[in-house]
Amino acid sequence: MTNRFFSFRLFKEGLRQSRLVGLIGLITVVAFTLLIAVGIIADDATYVHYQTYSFYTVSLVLIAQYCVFSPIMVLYLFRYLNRRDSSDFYHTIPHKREALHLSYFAAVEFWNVVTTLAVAVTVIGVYNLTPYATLQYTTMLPFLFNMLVAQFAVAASVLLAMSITGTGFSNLLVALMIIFIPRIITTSMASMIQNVCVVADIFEQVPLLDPALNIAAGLPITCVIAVFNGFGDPVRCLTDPICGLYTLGLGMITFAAAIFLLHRRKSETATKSSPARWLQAIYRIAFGAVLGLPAVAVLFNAIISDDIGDIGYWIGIFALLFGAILFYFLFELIATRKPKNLLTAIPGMFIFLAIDAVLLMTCFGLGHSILNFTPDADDLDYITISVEDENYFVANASKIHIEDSEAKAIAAECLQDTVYKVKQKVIGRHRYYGISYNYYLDGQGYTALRIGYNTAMGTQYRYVMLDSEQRQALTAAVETDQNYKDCFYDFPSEDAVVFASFAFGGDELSHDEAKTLYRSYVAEAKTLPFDSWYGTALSCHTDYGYSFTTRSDLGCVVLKPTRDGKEYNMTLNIFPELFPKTSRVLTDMVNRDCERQMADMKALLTSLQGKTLNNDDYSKEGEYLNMAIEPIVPNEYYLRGVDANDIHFVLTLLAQSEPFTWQEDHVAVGIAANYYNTAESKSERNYHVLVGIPYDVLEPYLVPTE
Amino acid sequence: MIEAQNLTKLFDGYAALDQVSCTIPDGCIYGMVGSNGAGKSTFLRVLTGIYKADGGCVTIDGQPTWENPALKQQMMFVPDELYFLPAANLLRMKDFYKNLFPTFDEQRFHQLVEAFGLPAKKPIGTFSKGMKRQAAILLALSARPRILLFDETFDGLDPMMRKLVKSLICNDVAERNATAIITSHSLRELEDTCDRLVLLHKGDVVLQSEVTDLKTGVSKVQAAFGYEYSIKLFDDLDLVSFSKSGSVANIIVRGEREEIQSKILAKNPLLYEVLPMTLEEVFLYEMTAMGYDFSQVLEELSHD
Repeated sequence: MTNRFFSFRLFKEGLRQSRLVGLIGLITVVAFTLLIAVGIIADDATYVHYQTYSFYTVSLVLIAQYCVFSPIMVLYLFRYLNRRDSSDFYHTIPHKREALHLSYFAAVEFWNVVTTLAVAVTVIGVYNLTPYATLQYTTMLPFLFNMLVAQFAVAASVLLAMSITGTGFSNLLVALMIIFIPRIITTSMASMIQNVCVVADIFEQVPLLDPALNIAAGLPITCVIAVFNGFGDPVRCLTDPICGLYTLGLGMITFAAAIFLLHRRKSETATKSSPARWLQAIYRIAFGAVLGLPAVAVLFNAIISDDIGDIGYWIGIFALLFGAILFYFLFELIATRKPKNLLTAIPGMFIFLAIDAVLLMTCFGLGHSILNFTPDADDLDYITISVEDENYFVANASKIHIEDSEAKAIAAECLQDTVYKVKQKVIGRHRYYGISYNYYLDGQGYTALRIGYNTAMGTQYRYVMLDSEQRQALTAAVETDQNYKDCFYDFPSEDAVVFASFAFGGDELSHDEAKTLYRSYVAEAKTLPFDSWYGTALSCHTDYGYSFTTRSDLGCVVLKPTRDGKEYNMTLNIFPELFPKTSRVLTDMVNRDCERQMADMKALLTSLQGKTLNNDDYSKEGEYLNMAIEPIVPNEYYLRGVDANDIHFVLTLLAQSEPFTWQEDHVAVGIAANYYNTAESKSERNYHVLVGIPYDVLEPYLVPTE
Repeated sequence: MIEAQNLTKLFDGYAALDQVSCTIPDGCIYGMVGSNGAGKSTFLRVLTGIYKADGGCVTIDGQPTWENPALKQQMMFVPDELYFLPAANLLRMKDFYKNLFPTFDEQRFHQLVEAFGLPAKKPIGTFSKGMKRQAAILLALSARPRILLFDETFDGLDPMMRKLVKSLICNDVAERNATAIITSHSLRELEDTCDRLVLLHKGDVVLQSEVTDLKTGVSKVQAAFGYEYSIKLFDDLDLVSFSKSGSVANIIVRGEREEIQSKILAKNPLLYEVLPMTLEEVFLYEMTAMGYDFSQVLEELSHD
């Protein structure tokens, strides 16, 4: 099978030449996947209740195929382009250049597909053979698709780099530049713009700036920045088909460009870092522009935080710029190996500095343009209301167009207030990182809502802060919209209850117990005033502080309702003040084994009195004890931390405790103790109890939360 | 038939080929000579489709060679810098070529491996320079292409192997009406093999001719006369060069040897002798007659 674009014989030749790297990749990725899958199962075999794992979490090693093996295969298979003799050799073979390059690239893709399928078969096989863990397949196809697409996109980027460079060093460097530079620039811009327009989600305003969109670059970038501030979503890269489709489009454009440029590539480009001086200048300037970004970011921060007069900032900025310029010239020297080229690189230095200056101004301009969107109520056709984390109720409610004039007026006023506070630097980056979550400010509890403002220009979404009065007014306004209200009474069926865990007592609820709890919850929710239930359903209620079930790892009931083919994660918020019956049902379930646990805990702690223990390093030789005490209900207190030296104190409390039963003037306190003796490796003991302690006993140790 | 018309190839503004035109008939061994940078290798690389011409064109039977797999299937190029697949031995290379060239003759391959005495299973990377060249030649010959292109191929071959290769090329040309283009620095290397010779200099064809025409169409004559004479005495001859020392005249003259002899004998010389001419001398005199001063270049070529 030979035509202009493909030759089966060349494909076979490509497979033959790439088999070393292909097989190493296949064996490595599959072996590690197998090890991880078996390791997880071996660990789970010790649990009473078996775990469910998303397909992608046990197949993560597949990332290595796109990060390591796919690019190496392209570099290895197409390395003939870097030598005159081999380049000439391949250009004399009786095939169109497209056929040669496409057939060889198909060989790389063959190994990618085989490795990906091998991982899928391995994971499915292992989890089907074991009774100890179950696999959740919903993420399987998107994950496999995204991985295949990422492998393709990275391979195409490396091929594009090889089409315009002719040495190993320049291949690698330009490939990294093609993959990362656009995303590094857009992510830096997004981060800076977001710091100006804190009321809007920059990725919603300019979706193309979202680093997660491009899996190839986005996954490493989001992983790195997630470590620092959670900006970007690595998991989205892995499982969101939108990211896969975007990356596929980008990969296809890159691939088409690579094939076109390879067709035009002159054999004599081999051994040259770049086929033309102007192209070399572009690489260099792009590299310089990225090197200058840290200085731009520091300058940007200095400006928005009014620290521009701080000499320390300026020293930092000049040091970063000096470093950028130094590396810029170093790049030219290494790439061309001609010191005289340093002189010709001088104009490029000014260009990259100018590019960075334009980026800085663009970020300010765009950021302020977004921030200054404060429409009057009269300009609004309708509003929509949601919260940052879309949940089951909000998913439908957010689609309702609220045209009530009072609601629009409150929404417009809240946005103006919020923007004013941001501009006054009362909120925003100075006081809090973002304003998408509820918080207290100057003694006032604020609720953060995501409101869509529809004007003649379309819909813009903003995170706005509502004080208690504004929230109540808005709730009263939207309550009149029956369609909107109905969305919050469309409860998922009991079959959607899939998971219930309770840390205290070291046990879990049975499926039936969880259903009972849910039934009680729904019954109580229906009796609540709309304002209370609305706030609970939106997960934006500040009046009740923390939910009973989210406090202190007490445990949670999770539902996974599905609607219109979309699955939601839904955790029940059981505020004791709103759901007293459900709270009691829950307490009874949690405390079913409390007395035995309390006795065992007392016995353990008594036996450890006077011993030398550690509670800061689990790996140390000897006896390890970790303890925790936390008031659960009421929730406006904290208790001082305890360590291994507080055995007597904990025993004193335990002596005055009894299983929590919602008695008047009793505080529900969670007490946990975890003991481990390295000399007896199987002697780990965990005790968790929810006890009731008279308020006056506990009072000396309580610390108010606010 | 291979035809180049105003073929031009530039490298960073430098013309490696500058409007080269030539015609190479089928069934011919075509020699290209020239010093370094003359454009010999560039010509072959343009012909084989490695380089794209910046001007003019090169065709085979009227078809352009650039990106023309059908024509490339009829050509085998043995470059000056050889390349073999990584870690390949001769058998692996044979498989590679066999997949690409339908005319590849496996039987001939084995015959040639035996004739050249090369270890077929040993990695070619371990071969000496001469052995690698032999490997490339035998693979090219085994493909039985219509057009064989050899760039400085005889360098690194010992005289015996050189003779063997030349005879194999001649056989292919004679038996299959194949065409061979051979480049070399050395005129001597080519004069006993080629039918036609072309001299390239700085990307330009300065002379091309049949070797037999070059050798038989020009004669070097030494004659002495018993009377005073000048160059006018030879007005009836097609002179390329004339010099006189005393009564002895040294002339280079074009034309049939018998005709020249009869015309000179008619002038009653005291002494008459036709001296043998090397190909370098023929080239030198022809160049000089055309107004070029290639004495140094040709000297280099003859020494190579």
